[in-house]
Parts: sequence; C-alpha cells; structure tokens
Amino acid sequence: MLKINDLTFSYGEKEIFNNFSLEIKKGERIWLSGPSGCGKTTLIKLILGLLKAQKGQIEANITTSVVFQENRLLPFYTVMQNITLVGGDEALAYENLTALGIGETTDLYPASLSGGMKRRVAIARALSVPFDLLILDEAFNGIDEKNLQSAVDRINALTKDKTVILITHNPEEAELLGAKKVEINN
Amino acid sequence: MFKKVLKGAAISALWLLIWQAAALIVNSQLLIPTPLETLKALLVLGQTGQFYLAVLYSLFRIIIGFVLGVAVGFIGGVIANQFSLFESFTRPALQVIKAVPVASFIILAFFWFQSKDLPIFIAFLMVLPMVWSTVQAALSGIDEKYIEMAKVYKLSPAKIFFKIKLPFIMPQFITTSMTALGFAWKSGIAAEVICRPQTALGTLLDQNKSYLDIPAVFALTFVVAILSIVLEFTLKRIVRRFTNAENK
Repeated sequence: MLKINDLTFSYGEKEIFNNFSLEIKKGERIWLSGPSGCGKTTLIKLILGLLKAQKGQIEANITTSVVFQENRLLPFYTVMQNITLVGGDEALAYENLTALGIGETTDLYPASLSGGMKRRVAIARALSVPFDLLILDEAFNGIDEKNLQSAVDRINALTKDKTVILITHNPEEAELLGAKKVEINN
Repeated sequence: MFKKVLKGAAISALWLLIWQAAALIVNSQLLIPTPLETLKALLVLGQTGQFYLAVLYSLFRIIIGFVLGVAVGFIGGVIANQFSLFESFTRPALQVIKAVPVASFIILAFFWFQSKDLPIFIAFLMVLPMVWSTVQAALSGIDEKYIEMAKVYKLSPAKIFFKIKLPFIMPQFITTSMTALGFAWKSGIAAEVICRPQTALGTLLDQNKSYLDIPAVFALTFVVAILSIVLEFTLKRIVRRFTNAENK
C-alpha cells in the first residue's frame, strides 16, 4: 500500500533521512515516534508529495487525508464550507461534526471557535473526504479528555479497513487508536 | 443617525464660517472668493451644457484609465507572483513609474497621445503600479500551509486561485483600489489641465484661471472634490454588493 525505499532527504547540510525504508500495509496503523526534529513531519510531507526526496522512492497510489499539525482552516469560510471546499461530503461532514460534539458549528466561522473546537473541525474535515490513508499529525493537541475519546471513537469507526499514520508525543493516543510504534531516530 | 447628521452639518457650517472669515480678511475675490460668490459661480456653470459634458467626459476618461490600471495591475501582479523572471523583468519599469513625478509623465505623454486620450493614460499609469505591487505582495504573503493543504486534497490550480488565494488578497486589493481611484482622479484632472482636451473639467479649470474667474475655479475644484467622494462611495457600494453576493 505504502512503500518507502532507500529514502534520502536533507535540508541543506542537515541530513534527515539516509536510506530510510518503511512498508505500511493496507489497514495497518502506525505510530511514528521519535524526538522533536527527527523528521516525522518531513516524512509526512514526503509521503504527501509536498517535498521531493533527493534519493529513493515512495510508492503510494492511494487517496490520502490529513489532519495537519496546524488547523489550516480558511478564515473566510464557515466550518461546512471549509470541509466541502476540499471535497468533503456535506452529510458525512455533519455526522462527523455531530459525533465530535460540534454539530452546531456548521455555519460558524473559525474565528468564533475555541482552539479545541477548531482542532475538532480539522479532524472532521479529514474524515469527511474519501481516503485510503489517514494521517494524523499531532491531531489531538488542545482537545480535552472527553472530546479526545469521541474523536478517537469516530476515527476508529471510519477507519476500520483503512491505513492510519499517527504522529504524537502521547502514547495514550497511540494506544487508543491501536497503532503500532515505529521509531524514527536519525 | 440624527445626531450624526447634526454633527456633520455643524462641522460643515464651522468650515464655511472659517472660509467666509478668511475671504473677508483677505478681501480679494482674486485670492479667496466668499462661499456665496463660489456658489453663484457654480450656479452659472450649472446653466451651461458644456459643464455637464465636461463632467461626463472627465468621469468617463478617468474611469476607463482606472479600470484598465486595475485590470492590468491585477493580472501583472498575479503573473509576477508566479514567475520570478517576469517579476525581475518588470520590476525596473514599475520602479520608474513610481519614482517619476506625474507632471513629467503628463508632459512626455503629451507627445505620444491625443490630448483627449492622455488623461486615460495618466490615470492608468497611476493605478497600475499600486495595484500590481499590492496584488503581488498580498499573494506572496499567503501562508503556504493553506496551499499545501489544497494540493493534498488535489484542488485544481484554478480552484486554489479563486477559492483560496483570491479571498485572502481581496481586502488589500479593495483598499488599494479605493486609494488608487483617488490618485487616478486627481492625476487625470491634472493631465486635463495641462493637455486641455476639448471637453473636460481640467480644461474648464484652466480656462477660468486664464480669465481670472477665481470663484469659478473654486466652484470647479469643489465639483472635482465632490465627484471624487461620489466615485469612492460608488466603488465601495459596488464592492459591498459584490462581496455580499459572494457570501450568499
């Protein structure tokens, strides 16, 4: 499903990956773990095609959806417009927002939401588009315990046969999602 | 609302009093005519068809120059943001346009264009670099993270531009266009004063200056200022209607 072969990547002089390989099978849940700056987000960007590897290959003929480290909600669109703009299904989006406890926010603009609510909108957006691979990059930052459980439940319900890549410093989140640890350490 | 109108009227009355006092102190119609003399001159002007034609022609020419400047400036700014070679190539020309005094351009362009077309060119030239630079800077100021997100979700370049980039740059673009309209109007009238097209407000201003009809010069200046305010108000209304329709 996702194959990374002998990947080499560096930012100028700073080498991030040197002949790094990883294979993730369909339906697998991976927790990318490692110290800050080890290249977890860089790897995600490489998988998404936002960065180009200097050497090696990434084979990923799949549809991907992402919860980025930042919310990346467009300030001039409502919650629902933010979701449908990227191809999210409106009915599914409403279901996701409701499951995440923010069903009443569809017509609100991001500026009127709290930090935790924005985070949940970002999760709802990622879950409302068709995908084979879901990437969660520090997706639960700023979400309280009760809402974390709702978010995890919703993600688990919608990713039964899908692949999930999780980046987090919180092992509890990985445990809740049942993700297998992959240590990245340059 | 009533309080606001009352406040506006009181401020206007105070300025009229200051004007009247200044005219009485100077005591020379050639230097400062009184508000009443100016009003009389305005009424006389208003009785001639030539005055209304001049207003229409001046408005028409300057609006054409403004619209062309906005359109070319917008497209240029977008292309310059996308292609660095184009940006490098056009930067010196924009810098020259910004640095050269408008009077120099009017004199130079006087030899290139017919006098009736020169105000269009001058208005265009004033608006172009303002809009161009604003659009270019606003586009490059958009957080790349939003564009990355759009690319991940495979949004087409057209959708990225119209649905993400354009709303981001719109507030700056509108503000600059409003300011540019004022510049276009003032420089366009200045061009008319210098090149004297057959029918234009600037030509009337220059004619009345030659006849030492200073109340008429004051009246025409007043008309120019009022039209500038009307133009800005109209543009604001158009923009508001457009943005409201977009949000519906």
